Amino acid sequence: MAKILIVEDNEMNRDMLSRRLERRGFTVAIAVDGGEGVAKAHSEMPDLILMDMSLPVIDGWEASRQLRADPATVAIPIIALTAHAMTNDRDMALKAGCNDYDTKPVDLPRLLGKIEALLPKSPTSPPPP
Amino acid sequence: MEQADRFHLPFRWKLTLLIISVCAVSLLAAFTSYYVYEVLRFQNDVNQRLESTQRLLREGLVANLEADPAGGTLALNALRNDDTIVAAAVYSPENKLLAKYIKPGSNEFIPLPQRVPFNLSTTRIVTIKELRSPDGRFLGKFYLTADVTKLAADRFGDALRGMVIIFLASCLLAMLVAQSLQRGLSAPITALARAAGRVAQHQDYGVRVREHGRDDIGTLIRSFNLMLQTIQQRTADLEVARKNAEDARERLREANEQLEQKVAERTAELERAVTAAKEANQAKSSFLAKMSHELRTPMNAIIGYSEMLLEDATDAGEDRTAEDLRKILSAARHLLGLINDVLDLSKIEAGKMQLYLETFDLQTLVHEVSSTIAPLVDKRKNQLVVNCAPSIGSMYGDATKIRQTLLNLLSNASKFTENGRIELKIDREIADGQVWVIMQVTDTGIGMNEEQMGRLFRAFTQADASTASKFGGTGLGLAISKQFAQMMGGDVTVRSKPGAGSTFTVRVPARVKPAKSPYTVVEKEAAQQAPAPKGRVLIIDDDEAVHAVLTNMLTREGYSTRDARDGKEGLRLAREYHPDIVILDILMPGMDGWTVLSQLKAIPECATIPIILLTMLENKEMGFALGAADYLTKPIEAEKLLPVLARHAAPHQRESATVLVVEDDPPSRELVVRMLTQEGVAVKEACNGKEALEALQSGVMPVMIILDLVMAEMDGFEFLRQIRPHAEWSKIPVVVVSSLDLSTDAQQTLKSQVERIFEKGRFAREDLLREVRESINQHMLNRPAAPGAAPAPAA
Repeated sequence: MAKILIVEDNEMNRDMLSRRLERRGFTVAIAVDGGEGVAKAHSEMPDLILMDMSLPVIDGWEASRQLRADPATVAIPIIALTAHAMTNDRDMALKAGCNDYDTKPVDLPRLLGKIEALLPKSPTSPPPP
Repeated sequence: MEQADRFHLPFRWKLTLLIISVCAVSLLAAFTSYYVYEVLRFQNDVNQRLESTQRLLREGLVANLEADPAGGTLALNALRNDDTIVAAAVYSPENKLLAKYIKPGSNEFIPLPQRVPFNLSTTRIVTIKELRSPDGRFLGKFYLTADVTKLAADRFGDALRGMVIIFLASCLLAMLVAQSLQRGLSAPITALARAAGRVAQHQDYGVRVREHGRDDIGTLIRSFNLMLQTIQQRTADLEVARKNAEDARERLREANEQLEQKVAERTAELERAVTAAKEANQAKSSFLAKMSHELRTPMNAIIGYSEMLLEDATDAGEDRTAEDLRKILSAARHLLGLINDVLDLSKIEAGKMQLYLETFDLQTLVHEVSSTIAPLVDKRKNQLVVNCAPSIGSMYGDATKIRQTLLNLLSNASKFTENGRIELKIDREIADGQVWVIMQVTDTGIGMNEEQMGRLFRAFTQADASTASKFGGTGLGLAISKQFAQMMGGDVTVRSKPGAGSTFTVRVPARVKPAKSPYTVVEKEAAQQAPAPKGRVLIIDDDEAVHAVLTNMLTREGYSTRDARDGKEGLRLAREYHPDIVILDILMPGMDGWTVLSQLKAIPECATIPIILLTMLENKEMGFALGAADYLTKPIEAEKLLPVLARHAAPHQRESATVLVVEDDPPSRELVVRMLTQEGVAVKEACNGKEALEALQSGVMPVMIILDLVMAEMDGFEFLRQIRPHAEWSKIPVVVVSSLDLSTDAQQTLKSQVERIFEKGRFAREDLLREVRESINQHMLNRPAAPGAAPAPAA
């Protein structure tokens, strides 16, 4: 079962997203700021990280850079989540080392598609015909 | 000259001269006639006197001769008393001198009677008369000579003296008269002349000439004075007018100064007001932006939890709750849309909206947009027609904003049209020396009148207040779209009639110029510099139109271009951009093409770049001598230029760009291979999945795999499963070309690993080529950026 680390400071968003992902069979770990996000990435070794960009302590971009700079976490796919629906947010996220990008409010089916695309073996994907 | 000199005499002298001359002439005439008369009278007197003297003498002589015919006693001495008689003689009938008298002291002589000279002088009178007795007997002849010279001299000398004296006196008198006359005659004229002189010299119109009589001169002087008076009056009037004008001008100047001062004050006030307004507006905008952001976070929660609850309700079969939740979700999404629009608008107003410029494929964008909008179009049973030529190519602009604009227009068209037709048409046109991309959304909906159209693009107004409630929407979309287009140097316009549908036209430059936009621009250098599948072309030309045409032509063909407007910029870009080909004009201001060519050849890292001369000039020898790779003359012809470009586009770049074609049907494989070869792409063929795997194992590292699904031995699905665990192979983009009618699930599976699925026989050649180009593009981006060094494929 794939483990997803959600780094999100807003409690409601965090709660909602974690519950929705859990319902779909993912194991969810939680971090409430960038610093905790980096720490949890090391301790939990998730299969994928959903990273909010506007975070306290250290922001999502900086957290992503730190994760990418560390050989232990370099391979973990990161999807950036941000409320700013601007192209440069995506570019900034990709530059910071994120693998993909999505906007908030979260469009769950779209986000799931991106998660599946980045996981080595999607737990929810149906077997090929 | 003499004539002229005479005319230079003053008038009074002329007058005096005239009077004297007239006087002299009349005196002379008078004297002459008087003299002639005097002479005649004098002669007459002399003759009468002589006659009477002669008669007296003759009577005496006759008596004497009768008595004594010898006449020796004739007494002529009595003649002594007459001073004028100088000689006298008496002759006998036989011409014998009987007596004679000669005035003493004179040298007279007595001639023979037959030789008496003819009387010729007026002062010497000679007579010879016969002497006869009273009975008629011839007694002899009497000769007499009188000299009246003295007499005449006495008489005429006095007359002449008198005349001279009278003449001189008359002249003097004439002069005096002239002098006195001129006082009345010439003096006014002289005064007039003096006055006129003064007027002419000193412009003194105050001068007046004293008036004088009622004659011509008087009239002249009066007229002159009148004229002067008129002139003086006019001059005075003029002076007054001039003074008035000056005063007026002065007043005007003062008024202007005051006005300027006022304007300056007002402008300053206005500036302050504008600054204040701007600041207020910015504050408002940033407040809105911040608020919008703050609003989005709870919206996020509302939508998210509603979705969760909806999922729960649907799972539990609680249809009524699910329906209510759907309504909540719909309302929340609408609210989110509003917030997003307000956020966009406030960003634009605050000047915080940025342009992200990149090169993107128009057809891809259109496909995305049309598939996004499709559900909304279907909702009101409308038909969506997309009219976009596969050759439309790419453009350089802000893709996100163009996408949003098109979605906006299409969503509007869908809202206001029912059971109709919505057309999205994309085209290019060349105008004003540049290429424009024209995007038109035409619907057959309710349309608008003029007044509605006028309000259309203004924020917070919609065609009708009731439309908002009926059709939904914020009314901000069009205002935002127009702003987006204007940021990119274009515009959105509308044409519509009530009941006859509407056409919205978006017009943006195919190559948005960052410099023209006052907005912050973020250029995607990486995207711009990304090597195009066919190569990077640097165009050096001073003609804007050439850039427009070439950029349009070349980007369409899959080249990426950079523009340099002069030789210096060209040299700089050649160093920085490392183009695969340079297209160079010769006739340019400043540094000409020949110089650029030879300098490029002198730069080591540029020396190998093929340079194609494209010019009006006919000088191939020179071009080739300087090292040009090819030489083309303007006007630009695609048929000539493109093959030349294809020939010189650096072949090493594509040597490594191999595409693996996995297809078991030979004709189909042949078709794809030929297509790729034409494009200059190296191809590795495989008849099934197994062969393809073997090829990969043998070290072929394609930039792309074109894969059939149904094949003998190993099919496409199995092949994909096989390559997935492999770190390198799993990254190779795969495009599926298959005749298999795929189930949604199968498509979903493939999607995660496959770039795109083409249905055999139904795909456009261009679409497949675009995929190939993009892969090559990506491949070029990832390879080490050493110019000219072909990356070695993984062995």
